[in-house]
Amino acid sequence: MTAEGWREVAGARSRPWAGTRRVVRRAGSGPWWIALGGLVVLVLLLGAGAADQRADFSQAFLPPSAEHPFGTDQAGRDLLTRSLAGARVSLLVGLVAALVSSVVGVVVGGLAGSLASRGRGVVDGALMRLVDAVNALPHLVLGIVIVALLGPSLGSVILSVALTHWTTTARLVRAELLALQGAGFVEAAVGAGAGRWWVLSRHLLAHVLGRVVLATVLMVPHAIMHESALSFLGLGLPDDQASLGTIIEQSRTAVLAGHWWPAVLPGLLLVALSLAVFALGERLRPASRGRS
Amino acid sequence: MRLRERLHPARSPLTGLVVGRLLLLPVLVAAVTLVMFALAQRTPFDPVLASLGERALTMDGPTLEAMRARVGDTGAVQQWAAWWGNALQGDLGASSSQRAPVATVIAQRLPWTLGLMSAALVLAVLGGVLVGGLAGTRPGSWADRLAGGGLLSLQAAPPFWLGLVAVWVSAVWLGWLPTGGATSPGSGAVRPLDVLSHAVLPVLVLALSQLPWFGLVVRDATRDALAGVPVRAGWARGIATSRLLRQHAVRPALLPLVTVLGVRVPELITGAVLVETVFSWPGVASATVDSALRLDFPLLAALTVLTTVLVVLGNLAADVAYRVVDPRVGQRDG
Amino acid sequence: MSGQGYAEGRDLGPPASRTAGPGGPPEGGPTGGLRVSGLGVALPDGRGGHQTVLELVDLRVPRGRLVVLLGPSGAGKSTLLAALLGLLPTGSLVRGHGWWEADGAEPVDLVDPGAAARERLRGRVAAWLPQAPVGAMTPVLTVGHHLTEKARVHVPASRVPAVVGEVMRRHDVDPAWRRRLPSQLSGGQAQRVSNALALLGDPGLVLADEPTTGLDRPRARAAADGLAALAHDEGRAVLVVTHDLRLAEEAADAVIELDGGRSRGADVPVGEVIARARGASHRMAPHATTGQRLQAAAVRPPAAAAQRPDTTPAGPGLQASAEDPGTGEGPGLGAVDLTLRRGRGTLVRSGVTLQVRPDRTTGLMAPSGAGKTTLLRTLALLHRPSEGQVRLDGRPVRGTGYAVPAAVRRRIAFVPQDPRQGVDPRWTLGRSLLEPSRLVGRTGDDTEVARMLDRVGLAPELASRRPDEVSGGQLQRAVLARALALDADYLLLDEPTSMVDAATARAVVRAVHEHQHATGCGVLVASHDEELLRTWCDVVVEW
Repeated sequence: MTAEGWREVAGARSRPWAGTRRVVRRAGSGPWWIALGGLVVLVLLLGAGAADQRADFSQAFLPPSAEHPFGTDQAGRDLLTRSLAGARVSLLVGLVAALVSSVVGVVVGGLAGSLASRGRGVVDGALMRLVDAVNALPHLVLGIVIVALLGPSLGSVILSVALTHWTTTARLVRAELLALQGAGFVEAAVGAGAGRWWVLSRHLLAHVLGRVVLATVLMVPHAIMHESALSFLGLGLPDDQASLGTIIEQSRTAVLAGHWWPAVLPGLLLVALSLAVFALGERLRPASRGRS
Repeated sequence: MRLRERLHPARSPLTGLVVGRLLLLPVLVAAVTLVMFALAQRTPFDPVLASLGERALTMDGPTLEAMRARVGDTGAVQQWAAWWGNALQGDLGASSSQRAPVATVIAQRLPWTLGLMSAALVLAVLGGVLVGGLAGTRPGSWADRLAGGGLLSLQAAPPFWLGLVAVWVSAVWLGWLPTGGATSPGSGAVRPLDVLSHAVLPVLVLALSQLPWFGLVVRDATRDALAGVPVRAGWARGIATSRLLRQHAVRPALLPLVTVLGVRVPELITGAVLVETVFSWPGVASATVDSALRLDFPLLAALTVLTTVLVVLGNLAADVAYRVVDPRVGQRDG
Repeated sequence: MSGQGYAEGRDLGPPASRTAGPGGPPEGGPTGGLRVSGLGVALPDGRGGHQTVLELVDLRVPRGRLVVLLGPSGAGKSTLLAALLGLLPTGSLVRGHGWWEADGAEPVDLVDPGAAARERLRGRVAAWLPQAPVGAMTPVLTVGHHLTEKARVHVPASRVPAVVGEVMRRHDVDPAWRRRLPSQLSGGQAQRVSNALALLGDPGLVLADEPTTGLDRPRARAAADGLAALAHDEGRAVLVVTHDLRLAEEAADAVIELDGGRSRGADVPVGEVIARARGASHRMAPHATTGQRLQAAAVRPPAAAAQRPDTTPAGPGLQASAEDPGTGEGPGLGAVDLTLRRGRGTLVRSGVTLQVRPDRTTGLMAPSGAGKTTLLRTLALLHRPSEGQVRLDGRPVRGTGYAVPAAVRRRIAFVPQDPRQGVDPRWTLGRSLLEPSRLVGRTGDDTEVARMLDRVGLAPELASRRPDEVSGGQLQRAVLARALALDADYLLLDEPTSMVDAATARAVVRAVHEHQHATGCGVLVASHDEELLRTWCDVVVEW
């Protein structure tokens, strides 16, 4: 409604598709998400201070109070302290597993992608069949088998998560490399006489790495979930390295006795943690994506 | 007739796809089990038991020791070959944790798992379509944001935690439903109403854990369809808004959903493992965990093969469905 | 809403009593029609601001007449249709009106009738014939579903089968297609279904968007006849927006030009507008032809030979063959009996033979989808032909991409159709422009970039911008500037003017022309724009 008589068409905002443009504002950009992101930092900082607590069975299963915001567990330990320490373990396992799987994924995907574009389709085909094969195995069952065979420890949990999750990154890197091979700006560089190294170092690397970082961050919640499931099943981490999954596992019987807090509150923390990392990933997503 | 018409443009690649995958399946299963046998050599597991088959059940201690000594020298490949030799004749070995032949254990438990999974899948799809469709046709609205946030949070919630919360709320706190098992203790017979009351919580929790993904897929696909030219063209033709939303926005979103059902098999299995464990549901998924915890190698091997086959078939179903059902693929290929 | 009232007051009310001017309805025909007055549209630019696409458009489309709105791509033609149909993107601003006058009834403003009136109007007054009929139908619903649903808008359920049957007969829609999905229709079938869908309900106004895009000549002709029949035989008001001059010439009762967001030529005879549009296109001063160059070479042969050692020595036979684009022999970039396939082996075209001569501008005219891009990419050594050879000055070039020596690659510059893909989105334009010189070890500076930008009529400030911070037309010229900087012997342009406004198109053509003057490079222009090629090229090959 400016001076020149411009106006908006009446009813334009109630067209069925009217909202589809506005929704460009992605999930993960609101103030709630930022608050959640702060939680991750908090968990990392506070969790560091949580030392082992003495068991005090006279204090067992105290409901949430000002002194113990999350209540106490079956051994009378403060659940908030324990949950924060557990969240830190979960987060670290998630981060390391996501990093390891990304490294494997980048190597396999990079190899497949660059070989496919050089006409070495056989190696590419074999690597992609390997990806198919790993994808054809149910992740949790495979994780159970790996941990069962190697024995429960931090290492085998991380390995079991990493070994089942690298395929996503491998596919992504390969697809990205192949797509970029035909991108106009790569063709322009090739046409101007650029060699493979030039194209790789000046054009491809920056693009692929951006995507890989994003995929790695988004894999962290997945890995956390995986680790907590293994711990919950009793195949995960020992009590002195309790993750959130371990804490929830230990409260299973307590729930049946009506003590809800040892299971519910650490679980809420786990949900918040996953959401926060997810939101962080969404913020990393390049803004120009999806613009036509 | 219509199906054949739709099949036609992609017929030869489709057959090739099916044949290729079915040929890949035995190779994959063989490779997975071989790796398992090789790894088990250095672990507390006893792959020797697996290679003996069901005979292990009837052997006494000393005989078993003698056999173990004899077979133990043969190495992973021989044990693996012996296991397959027995398996192909229907002898999957004996489960030490369940004290029964593996084949019997699976035959008894598989129906419980399949029942749980299919009921949950139906509920999850229906719920996902409902929530996703409502949110997707009102992009940017409060309903959309609420649904989006809710679905994301639900997706971030581990199924076992959802299970515990459900147990606390409706079983312990309200006291309405049984907290575990599939039948009431003491009643030997399987009574439908009894099973139903035991099944409500596991099915609901498994459905809830799967619902967010379907809901988000439907929401995004609906929103994409809504932003497309066909909706505008339909609007310009004068089609009523409610009909436009249902037929031209939500309905196109359902096709991709149907075609990706098969891809969700691994997640469904993951969910089933956790939910069956929480609710002590007597299915194969909880038996997988048991076998891993109790070092029951024959059962673990057989169940790994079973889940692998399920996942491959699920992926295959998804690929076939994608080509058969999605009319746009034929055009893209042509 | 105050804005609406303000706008109406400004426009002095509906033109109910105005009689038809030149180009009005025929005697005895139905009265009324469309009168667009002072229409302006500003689209949201995605960054909170607005971009004015239509400044001031006035036009009349009386019933019984076919009016063509001419303009290049990006001139805002489709935006005009969207404004009349109520399909503008959310957040768009408008001014002015698009009055629809039915016989005797109060005129209604199609652009901004108010929410309630829009509900009554949509689907009943204006029919939209979209550019791609298949893309405008919902892919999972059958043809029968679409037709039934549309009939249900206009008649009670009991009469739907009869109405659908009638409209299918009228528009030659085979009953067997009812069960087909849109993707299972051929182009022609989809067109007929689209017409049946649009015209069911007997709308008085027909809005057609680029109806001849991608059609060969006979089918384009048939489409034009069909549209003319809608106006002349059925008495509808038909507005066709297109950049196809031939369509305007064949079918229009009146032609209006749209350029820079303003309409021109409302009251001028059709022939005159078209002649003006032709003349205004891209006529350039004739440049040094091969013949003139050869004369010069006869005086100082060593200079010419030294400059271009690969060039076959001049001879009497050369001039004759230079005019023939079809041999693939002699100096130049040649395609010899190429078979082109796309993707997983879909045949695009076989037996392609073509020669791009040095210092000549060769045009390749073909409709969209005919394989122009595939051929250009093949000639640019980016795409492997499944049969045949690419020859550079008579010698076959082996391989594509990296397999070709860098020095050979640099002799051919390719400008793709879509500039958005053509530059690294992370780089500034300046960095992209300097890439060719950096590749040969020179470190270019700001002055060099400024000079390159100036050649294509761009300001030096653009050097520091990223691709998503400049307009499509600016980016197109930047990509061209980079290609020119290669100083290649052959310049291949894929639809260089299809995505830009008329002013940018002229700048592009001028820049290429001047470059050719200076360097004597061979140019190949692929386009579906006959006028562009006819005025620009020395030789035009038609597919």
